[in-house]
Amino acid sequence: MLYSGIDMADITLEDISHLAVLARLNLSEDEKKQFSTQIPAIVAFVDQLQKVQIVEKADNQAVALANMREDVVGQEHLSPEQLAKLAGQNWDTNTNQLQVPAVFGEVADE
Amino acid sequence: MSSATDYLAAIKTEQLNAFRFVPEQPLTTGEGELSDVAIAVKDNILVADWPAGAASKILEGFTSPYDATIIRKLKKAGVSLVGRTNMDEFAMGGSTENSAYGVTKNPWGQNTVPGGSSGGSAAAVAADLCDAALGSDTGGSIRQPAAFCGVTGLKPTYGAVSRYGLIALASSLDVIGPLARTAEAVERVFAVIAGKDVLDQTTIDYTYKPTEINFSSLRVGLPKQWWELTIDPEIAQAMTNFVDWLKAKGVQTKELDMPTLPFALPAYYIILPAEVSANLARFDGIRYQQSVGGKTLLDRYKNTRALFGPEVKRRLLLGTFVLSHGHYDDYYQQAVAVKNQIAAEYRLAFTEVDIIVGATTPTLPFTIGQNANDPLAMYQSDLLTVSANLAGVPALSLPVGFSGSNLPIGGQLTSAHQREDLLLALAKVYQQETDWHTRKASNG
Repeated sequence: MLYSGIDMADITLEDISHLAVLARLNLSEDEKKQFSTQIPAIVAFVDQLQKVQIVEKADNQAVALANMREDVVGQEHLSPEQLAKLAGQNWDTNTNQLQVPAVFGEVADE
Repeated sequence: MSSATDYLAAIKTEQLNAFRFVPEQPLTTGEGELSDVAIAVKDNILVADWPAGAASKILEGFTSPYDATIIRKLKKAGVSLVGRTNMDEFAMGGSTENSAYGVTKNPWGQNTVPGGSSGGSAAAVAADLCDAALGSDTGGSIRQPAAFCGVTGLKPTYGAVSRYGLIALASSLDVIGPLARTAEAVERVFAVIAGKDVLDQTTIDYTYKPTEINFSSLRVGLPKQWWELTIDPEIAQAMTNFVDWLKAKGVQTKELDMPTLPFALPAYYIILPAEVSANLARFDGIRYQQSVGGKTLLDRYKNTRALFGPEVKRRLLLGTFVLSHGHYDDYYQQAVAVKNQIAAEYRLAFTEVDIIVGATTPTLPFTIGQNANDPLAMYQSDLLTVSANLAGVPALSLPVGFSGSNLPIGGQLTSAHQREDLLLALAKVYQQETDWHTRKASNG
């Protein structure tokens, strides 16, 4: 290996489960076990960044953009026909709207 | 040179698993400056009415509703499109082993990987299944597979090529670029796809103009942080030979000191997962076809997103971690500061030199399965390529030799923003005087 020493960062199986909830991921027990060894090792690897002497403080932007937004005239959009094709059976042709599962409350499985 | 129809016939019987989708007929688009060019498209670049999957189960059944801007440009230039190439899922990986549809085999054989994430594209070019292929490069995903497959691959300046219609991985790092056998073919494709796009606000005004190399005034930099690393000795020797060739042409070489360079890989593996965790939030079971139900909407999110492969899940968890409360400053903010510092070191270096030279990869192509259960070992494959993405500078990999076991070796040339002309000009001269790039893999 080209990196030296692996210190395991202090991340537990419970932390992995919590991160999975935040990331909206279902993990199997096997996956949780595997990630609970791999993720701490990766975090321990990236921890070496703490050693870097930063000469200039970063701004918050990873990409320097002078103009974040400009209004574009004649911007193309997907037509209702293209949207219908994309949405497949979820497209309501009467209202030209996309049907999505209910946001609130419990629903029966489709 | 084969016709698109000839290529398609070869593609339909190829045994490398380089292609994800093969059309019945090549998509030919008429006359233009590239109408003699048949191109394979990486599976994360949208072609209207073709499936687009980024080699992921979560996009199974999805058909592109529109062309990526660069596809529109290439169609206008008259290219033929011959299919979509295999890749690591969502471009996460260095071997194409993370594809949900099986690994692509390196045409140079010995059960080796073609590299990744644009492994299918690199293999397709090396196996002469197309004239050129499109890839994307976020941390080395064009250059590393180009090196592993013995072809030429260009990662352009960040912003030189529109990302509209590229399935996003890390939006501050992603760049689309061409792969081909020769720098000349790479240059022809790049000239067409480069340029500002109103649909991608990170693009820059860029009209590509070729140049000629003046060897007596060319200054080449050799970062000691790269050249002092212990890498595969055959790669190290090939790179020494390459520098000797430059010196014999009258080039001045200079050692560079870029002290933040060794921290590029850890910085990348914070920034990339962070941006990935945001970009892949859109795969929620509401859009893009695949939807696995449950009692609640939250179940639908979690059940659908279970379709991601393990490397994707790993990076989503990592990204969520480095952006989370209590860790954001130490990890993400620090990584962005390191990224900016590396960019500044490159800017300083390019006031002293014109081209930076080093190996593309620290190892020869590894065997399939070798790094599959060791993510950190896999990430090391990006060691020499990620800094160009962090700095946004262009970099090219070209074949510079072969190992004793007949596996390709790639050398990497890096230049300042918008100086792809220097990289391509130097590569073209080198390819006039050497034949590494013409060798045929026997297992294609």
